[in-house]
Amino acid sequence: MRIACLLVPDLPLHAELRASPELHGRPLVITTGHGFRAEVLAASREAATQGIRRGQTLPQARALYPDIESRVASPVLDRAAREAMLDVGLSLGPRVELAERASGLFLSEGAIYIDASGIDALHEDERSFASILHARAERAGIQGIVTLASSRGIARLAGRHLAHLARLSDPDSVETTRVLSPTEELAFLSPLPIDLLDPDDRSAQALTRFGIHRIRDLLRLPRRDLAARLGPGLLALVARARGEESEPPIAEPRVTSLEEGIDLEAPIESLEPLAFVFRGLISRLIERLKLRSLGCVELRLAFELANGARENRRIGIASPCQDERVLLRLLRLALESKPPAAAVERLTLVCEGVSLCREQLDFFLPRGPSPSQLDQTLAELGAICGSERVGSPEVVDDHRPDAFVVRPFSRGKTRSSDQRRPGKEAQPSRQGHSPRRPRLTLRALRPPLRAEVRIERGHPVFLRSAVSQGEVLRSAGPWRTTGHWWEKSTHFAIDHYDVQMSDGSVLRLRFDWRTKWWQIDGLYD
Amino acid sequence: MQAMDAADVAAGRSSSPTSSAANGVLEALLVDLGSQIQRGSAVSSEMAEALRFCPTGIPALDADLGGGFPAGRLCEICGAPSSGRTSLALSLLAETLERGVLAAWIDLADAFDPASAIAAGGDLERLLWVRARSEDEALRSSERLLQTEGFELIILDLATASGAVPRTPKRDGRRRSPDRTREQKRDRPRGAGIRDVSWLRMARLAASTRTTLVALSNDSMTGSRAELVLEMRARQAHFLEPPSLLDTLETAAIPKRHRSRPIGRATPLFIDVEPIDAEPVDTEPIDTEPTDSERR
Repeated sequence: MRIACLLVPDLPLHAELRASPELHGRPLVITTGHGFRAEVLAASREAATQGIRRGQTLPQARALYPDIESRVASPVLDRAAREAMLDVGLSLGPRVELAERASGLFLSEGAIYIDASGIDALHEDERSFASILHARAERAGIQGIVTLASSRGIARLAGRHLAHLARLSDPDSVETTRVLSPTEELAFLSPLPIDLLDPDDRSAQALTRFGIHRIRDLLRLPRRDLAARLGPGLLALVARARGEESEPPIAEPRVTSLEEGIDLEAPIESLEPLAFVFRGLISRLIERLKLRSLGCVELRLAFELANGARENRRIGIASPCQDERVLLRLLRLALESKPPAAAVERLTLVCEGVSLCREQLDFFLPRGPSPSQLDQTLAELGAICGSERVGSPEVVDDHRPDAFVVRPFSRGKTRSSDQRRPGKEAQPSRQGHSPRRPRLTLRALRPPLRAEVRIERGHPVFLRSAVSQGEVLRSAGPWRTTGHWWEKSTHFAIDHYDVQMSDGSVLRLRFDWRTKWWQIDGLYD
Repeated sequence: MQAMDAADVAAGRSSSPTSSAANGVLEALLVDLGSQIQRGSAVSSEMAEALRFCPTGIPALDADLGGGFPAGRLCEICGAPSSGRTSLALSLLAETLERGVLAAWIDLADAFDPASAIAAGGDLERLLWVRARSEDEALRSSERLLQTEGFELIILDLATASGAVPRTPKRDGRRRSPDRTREQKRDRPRGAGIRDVSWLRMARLAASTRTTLVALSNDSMTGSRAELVLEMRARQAHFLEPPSLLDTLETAAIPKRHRSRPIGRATPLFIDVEPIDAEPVDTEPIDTEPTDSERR
């Protein structure tokens, strides 16, 4: 069994740096809160060189270095960073496990285990596998340490040791990957301090009392006597140090909803800075999508507003997309068409991913616009005219006049010219398409326009309205349309007439029996 | 070497074992496809024709226009209400949609009637209907669509219902009712405010994406920017008796501007009426009560 471990020693710090790359190289501390009692959870290397350590209060840290940057630990960023680590692992192996949270000295540590058995078949050697894993983690914004050993415990111990060395040494000479072969594991672990095993307080005190400071000291002791004197809990530490946890990583359920979020330091009211924040979120999501070979088909936005309200948005995407510019544009258009009702304090962006597959185009059919381009166009048209005013018209099965709905437009299935509608077949013309006599079209007036009509012998003879007035030269009708008689609110009873006016226009007139109004439905054109 | 082989295969030569193998594969593919494809000059001439024109599906008009509306150009159909402008535009739309491509209808007056479009033969699944609320929205939508490759036809409908109808003059000292004012505002002539530079920009965009842009208007407004301006003139509405029935609208299409064809020759068009989906009745009254909202 070979296990790779990606370990991030100060996850809250790295989660913050991942979300705010501009803080790299600056003295930064992550705290438990804002007040005087807020404790430092993690400190950057620059802060550590000023003497700032984990467990100090924020005022103590400020006393040591007044210009220090501080951020409150964000559960949203922490969760996103852990999920990103999982994505990195899943990009290299199917069996990836998120390590349980440690306690004590390693409270802020984050780690994943990857089943690396048999990777020689896919990679040059284990060292190159570790390098690839480290590089992918960096691509996802995770500054971690990669170790490879024959058990989870040894791999994690090795990672902790490298992290400890990294804190002390020059950043340029930091060792970030280490592969331990089974034969060298014991030699590597023996001189390491007992603290790396993360014993509980009682065990740690007992071991210190016995003068046991190194792992080799612990491994020399007889296991039975150790358990009798210090309790069975210590046996787990010994098993970890010996690499006896031989079970493989338990694969986490594969989640295709990728989430990124941010707690804003100050509420944002205008769209421009909000779009800037979204750029970072989208950028990180895109990297994770690429790692998992997924494409985004839906974006879900959740805002927590300064007035305490919450807003949720959903942006559907026609085809799986990994294009940062497209997603940003769609987000921006959605926000422009309906901005948040108040200043935004926290936002979460969930990206629903699906596996990418190549589009199979038809050899004989026109290609049409690319899905991402069409998405952008539709979103922009929706922002210009209103999303409810852009779509594909569809006549509904209803006898009411002008009954239609507007469906969301999609490229749909393109159809070759020989697959014509039934009943539309005709003799091919010179150009190879069917000749037809055009059908007279109604230009609808919505809503129908009120008109004054004079009737003689049951037929309209004079009409006055905003679009036409004068003598009615010819008329045809009436045709009666009735329906929904069983329901008073929706009952309709309409007589239609086609009339030719003296000014040349041909209109469709209606008399509504409910309102006793004459109206113009539309103009034949 | 590979490029040379490909050229040889294309030219029907087989200078090497590789090229002869490729030729064999191509021949086998042609046999498999059988009647699905056409060969030689027949394909090229038809394809060239289809690339150059958007046919209206009305043989007489297509013949007079040299094949239809010029593809990838700005065109205009203008005329008075009831002159058949919209019917011609829908026929053009239906013919385009029949080819399996996408089209858009930008509707400033919210006058597009889906039932009429279906009667004209269009497959509305591939039609994008944009109901603009102002000229500015219509223009911006049009320009955005023209920048999107893949829409072969865009109809920019700027026509109104009352373009040629003289309005009732406002009497001195009398306020117009809000209802009347709203109606007249809705039907004011559209498109007059569109600047020449906008038409120029849209014409260039249409050429770059090979989209045919057809403006629908009461009076010609595209000026010299249009490749084709077709004026529609109503002649007569034919009614049948009995039963009393509007049967056909007789109109004529006259090219007022065409960059490559003679202009001024009228093409007569007979536009059939789709029967109304209702029953002819005597004018017996129906006893109904308006709802409260209708009463108000």
